[in-house]
Amino acid sequence: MSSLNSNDGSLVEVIGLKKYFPARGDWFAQMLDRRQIKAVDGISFSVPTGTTLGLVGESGSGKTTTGRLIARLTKPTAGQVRYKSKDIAPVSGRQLKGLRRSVQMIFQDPSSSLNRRKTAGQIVKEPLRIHELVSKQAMESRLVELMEMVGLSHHFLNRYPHEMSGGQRQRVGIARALAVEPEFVICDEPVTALDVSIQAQILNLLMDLQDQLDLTYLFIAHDLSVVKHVSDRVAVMYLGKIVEIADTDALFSDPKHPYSRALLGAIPRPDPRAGKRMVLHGEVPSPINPPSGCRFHPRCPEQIGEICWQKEPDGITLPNGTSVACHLYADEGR
Amino acid sequence: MSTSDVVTPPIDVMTPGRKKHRGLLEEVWHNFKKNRLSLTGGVIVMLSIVVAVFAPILAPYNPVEQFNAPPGQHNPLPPLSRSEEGTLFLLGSDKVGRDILSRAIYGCRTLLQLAASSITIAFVLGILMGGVAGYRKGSWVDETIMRVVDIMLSFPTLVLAIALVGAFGVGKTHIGPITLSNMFKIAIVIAITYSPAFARVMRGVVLQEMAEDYVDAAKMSGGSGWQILTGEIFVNTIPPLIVQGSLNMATTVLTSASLSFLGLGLQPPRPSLGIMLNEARDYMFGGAWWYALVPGVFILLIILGFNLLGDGLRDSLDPRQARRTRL
Repeated sequence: MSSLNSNDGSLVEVIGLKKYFPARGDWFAQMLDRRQIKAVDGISFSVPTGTTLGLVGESGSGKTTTGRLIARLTKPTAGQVRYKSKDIAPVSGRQLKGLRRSVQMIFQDPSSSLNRRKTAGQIVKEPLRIHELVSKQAMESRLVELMEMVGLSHHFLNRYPHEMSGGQRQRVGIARALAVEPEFVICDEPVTALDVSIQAQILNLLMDLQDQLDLTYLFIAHDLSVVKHVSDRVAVMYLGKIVEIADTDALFSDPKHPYSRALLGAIPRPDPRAGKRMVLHGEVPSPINPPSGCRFHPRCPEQIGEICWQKEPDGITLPNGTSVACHLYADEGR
Repeated sequence: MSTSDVVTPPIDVMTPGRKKHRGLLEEVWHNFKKNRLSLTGGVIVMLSIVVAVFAPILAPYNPVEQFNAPPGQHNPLPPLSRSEEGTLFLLGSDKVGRDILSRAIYGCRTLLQLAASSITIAFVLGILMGGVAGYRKGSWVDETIMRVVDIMLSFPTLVLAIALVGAFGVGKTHIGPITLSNMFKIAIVIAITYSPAFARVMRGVVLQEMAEDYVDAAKMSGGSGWQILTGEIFVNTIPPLIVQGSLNMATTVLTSASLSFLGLGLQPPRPSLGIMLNEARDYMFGGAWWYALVPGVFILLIILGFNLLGDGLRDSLDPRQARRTRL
């Protein structure tokens, strides 16, 4: 299947993607205050068919906005999202409805993503009804099939969201996303709102489903251990930029960017003697007025001088396939 | 947590537990019946509706039939007196010898008809305007609708009523093939002044709901804006709208009564509580206390009933809000 796609086997490509929001809400305030929040500021990556790209970063780093841009819930300020080599920004109407069958999303908070006045059955049925995928007679059995696919019995079909646990609700959310048989699924922190004991179950379910249904994932999270578990490659975001993209093993064994190292240092380790952790100081700067040069320089413990606050680093591809945006590696690119 | 180390057994299909939660209606009734005041309001409202519906059965006489006062006496006659024909006026008679009880019962009917039809029109208008404005928040559609709502809101009901009645007269109005009854015209006047309240509530609730992920999820499912608004968001706006409706019902009743009191509403001899009050003005200080008291108490009870019911409904539909306002 993947060979039919674009030349390099990428299902989704993101090229120079930018999304700026006005700093103020209504049009009158916007006239007085033209500042913009640069939520996503020129990022590029691609997701090969059948793989999982993890997207990590602190809150406010723009990872959720990236997910919403790829899902085409919002339109980019600049740049492109290409699905099967086709720009999705100008798509509308019937074509957009078609795109909705291929690209789906699993939301962070299952209590907000399920309509509280609808039963699980009604919720999962909705996309089937809108796209007219299943006849009336076959609907019931298709619903049961979908529910069982995510590990819920058909008894849940008549349940309202408040009658289910967080994990069960998230399963309903997954069933809804998979109802249209998508190829690409954006998982926006799908386990963040769940109990730790439930997280592993949902992650394993997502991975099983990927194998069964040949899904491609963009997996957004701020918990690195979760990302490590599911991703083939990981992109690290900081203030609207991607600072490093690397294969999961490479990132976790040998993080290149100072920010990635700091993030990895934030994973709790059971052994207190495991060595000194790198701790970041200060707050994430405002995305309205990001720092000059490298955005990480005010907090970076490994600054090498003037170049860091004067020149924005380009992505440098290292011999092992890691791409890193840091002046430290200026001479190592291949 | 390090999920990579956790080995989970293959997941069995889960079945729900036994515990069944209450549905929305059960929940509301459960909260509602605990509050005696709102139950009282509900009973008063039910009673007035029964009176309105069964007016022809309940009223002892025809509300427009005139009886003569016995020799030596003259109308209005006090309660429990008899006319020359021998009919008993339980609550007295009015200036031309009509039975006040019968007129009040029929007046109750017309008042509720008027209030209910105006609130329904206001409801529909308000929901449409507020829903569309909320869904298109920040756009020119939103701005236009909400400015129109502001204009409607700044119009005093009575001034608008005088203007419209002046323009169209008090009888039936013919606009092309459509004939508008007087009652319908008044209902529209009242509805225009009350729909902004619904529009604002609706817009607020829609904005609140739009922030929920299920709206984005519905977009991802391929639903159109209209489908999402009617199929997903609308069900969640019903409780606050019901509260708004029942609270506004009381003021609508008052406005309807005031309009007929001023002679702008239903026209005599149609029985109307407002007209009765107006007629009673001339006799108020002449000892005919029952003349004004009966329609006044009817209006008071209906308004009180709707107010208590509205408060009770608000408390039981949104218990958290109720606790906050009671502090």
